[in-house]
Amino acid sequence: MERLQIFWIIHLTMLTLFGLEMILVMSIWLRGRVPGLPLTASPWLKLWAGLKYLFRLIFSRRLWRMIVALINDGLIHRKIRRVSRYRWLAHITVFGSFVLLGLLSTVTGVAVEIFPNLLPADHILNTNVISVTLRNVDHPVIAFVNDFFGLVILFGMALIIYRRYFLKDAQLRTIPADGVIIALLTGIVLTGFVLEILRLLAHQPFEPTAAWGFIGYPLALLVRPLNLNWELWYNAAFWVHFVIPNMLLFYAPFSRFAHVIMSPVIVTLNSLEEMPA
Amino acid sequence: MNNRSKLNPGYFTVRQLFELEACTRCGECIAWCPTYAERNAEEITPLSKIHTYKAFLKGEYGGFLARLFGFHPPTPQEIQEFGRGTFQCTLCGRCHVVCPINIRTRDLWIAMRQQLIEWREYPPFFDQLREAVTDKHNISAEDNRGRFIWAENLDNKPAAFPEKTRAEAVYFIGCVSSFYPTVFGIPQAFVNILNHAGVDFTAMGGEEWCCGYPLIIAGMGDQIKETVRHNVETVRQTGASKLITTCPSCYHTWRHEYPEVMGEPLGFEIVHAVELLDELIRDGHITLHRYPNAVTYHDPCDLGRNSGIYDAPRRIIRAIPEIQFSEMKDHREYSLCCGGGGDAEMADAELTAAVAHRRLEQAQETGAKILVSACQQCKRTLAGQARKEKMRLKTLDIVELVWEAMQE
Repeated sequence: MERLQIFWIIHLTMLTLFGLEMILVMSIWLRGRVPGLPLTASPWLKLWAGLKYLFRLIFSRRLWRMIVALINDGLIHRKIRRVSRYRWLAHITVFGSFVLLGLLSTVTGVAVEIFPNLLPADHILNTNVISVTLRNVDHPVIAFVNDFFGLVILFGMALIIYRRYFLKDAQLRTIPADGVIIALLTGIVLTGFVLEILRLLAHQPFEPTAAWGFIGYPLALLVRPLNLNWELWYNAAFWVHFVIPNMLLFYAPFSRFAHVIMSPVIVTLNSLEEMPA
Repeated sequence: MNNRSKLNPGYFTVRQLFELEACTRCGECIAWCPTYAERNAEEITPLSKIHTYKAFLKGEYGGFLARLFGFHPPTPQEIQEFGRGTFQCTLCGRCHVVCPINIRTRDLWIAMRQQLIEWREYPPFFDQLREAVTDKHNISAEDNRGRFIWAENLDNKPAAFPEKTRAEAVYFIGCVSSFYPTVFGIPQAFVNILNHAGVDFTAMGGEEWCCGYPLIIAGMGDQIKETVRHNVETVRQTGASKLITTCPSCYHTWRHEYPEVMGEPLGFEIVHAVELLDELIRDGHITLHRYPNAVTYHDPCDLGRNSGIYDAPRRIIRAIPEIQFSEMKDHREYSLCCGGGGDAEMADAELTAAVAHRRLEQAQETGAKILVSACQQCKRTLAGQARKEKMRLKTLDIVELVWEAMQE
């Protein structure tokens, strides 16, 4: 079986498990009551009421205000900025960079995996400059963006680790699960850099533009004299880098990491309702 | 407790259960919790309450997957600890203000208390409270006909039920002002102001039943339906267009809980004394004289954070000639609780005293000689503690301050 096939089998399995876990968590929420519905209302009725509420919100004049609330409180986190610049910087560097890199990966996945398989090679979606750029991992923009935001995440993670384990801020309550999440998030970025180095070494000679990957490229030059079986190491690194986010995906619904999904929704709704009319 | 009923998520709305999951465990609430600052017991922290309850839910309803991640149904010991933390809370709502996710914490604590009531894991005094409010219709379990005792020594005793049953406004006095002599000055000053300003009002006397707030916050909100109907019907019979109260908790309950319980608009306006005084001063119905004293203002939780009224009391104070007004370190949304809210005093009186002490210290730091509030419970708590500590700090309700400033 090809690497890509195994990748998708495992990834889709983990996505399904993630979905099942989310359904389980949601089934607990749906045991709650919904104002205006009898206590005995079925979960489906409650779900429908919730969806109706959301649709009414989205297709209303309040949409713009909702977007403002989402940006201010769900994405920029102005309340955290007000209480502590340090905390805000740590959070926004990690969160913001993961969101950007996540979006880049998703768009790349579509451009590299989906469009070429579904559409003719000369279709505009395959030949446009964005798709062409995304298909080339050593393109200056892609190489630079990946390394830069990876570095920003590591900076943010360092701030988080310092505050939690060295500064020991009195308001923090550190539990072993926090260590697991921190290790997984840091692991994703570190293994990403390792993967980049090994990819360059496995696919020599280096592309001239690869130097835009200002972390991976110099480190690849540094370890090149070791002259190992780079293809083998690249393969191993690929699977390690792949497994960590999937572990996070599996763990997320039952961990504090769930807030990444829930918090933007709640803070947007609550802030929207607290906005002056 | 081994025979406890299953955890009942029905005390929460779907959205509240979602909110539990949205908590990031950032701990900002811990830094601002007034009772945790005094007790340092982990179970008091908002963060702990949220995550304990969330773990209970997953342990009870999460099945195999939840077990895999270490969740289990709550043990009697865990429930006991959770109950202690949940009732050692003044429901001040400061955790909501500082929460980066804007989680509506106060509503969560009340829902958790409802669950604890079902499990019979609550301070023993709550049974007496329930009996007092539902049978005697006041929190003191006294004869409800004695609600007008504070008016006995007034020169102009206000007309009230049963003599006067029709008026433009109803003054809903509240249990604390009616039965605790230390705060009799509040209704006395307020009726003097109303008479002076020519407001046509009546009071309900023995027909005024406790608004039900103490039961709602105790987690016994299901017991207040009869009370709500009685109070609303009585006010409706007067033909009044507004109900005025000097108690922020009564105000909050009337304004937010009553329409929900009744399932319809009340048909009259709910006004707190500060809103009315602000209007009377602005319209020139009240004349204020010079009052050269240094004062500071304490925002009652139910008036400020829980009802959003911050400016009216400050406008009133600033309207008094020659008054020197300064803010405390924690004010407006970030105001520190007096310690007397949330039925916490019934659960732990020493805790209430400790929170009140801290608030009094903040008041003293401003150099003020008078600590003004707009709540009889705040005044009772703060004045009681100041007296106990022999502090040279006078506590006044804002209606008393206005009445004093009205004297030449």
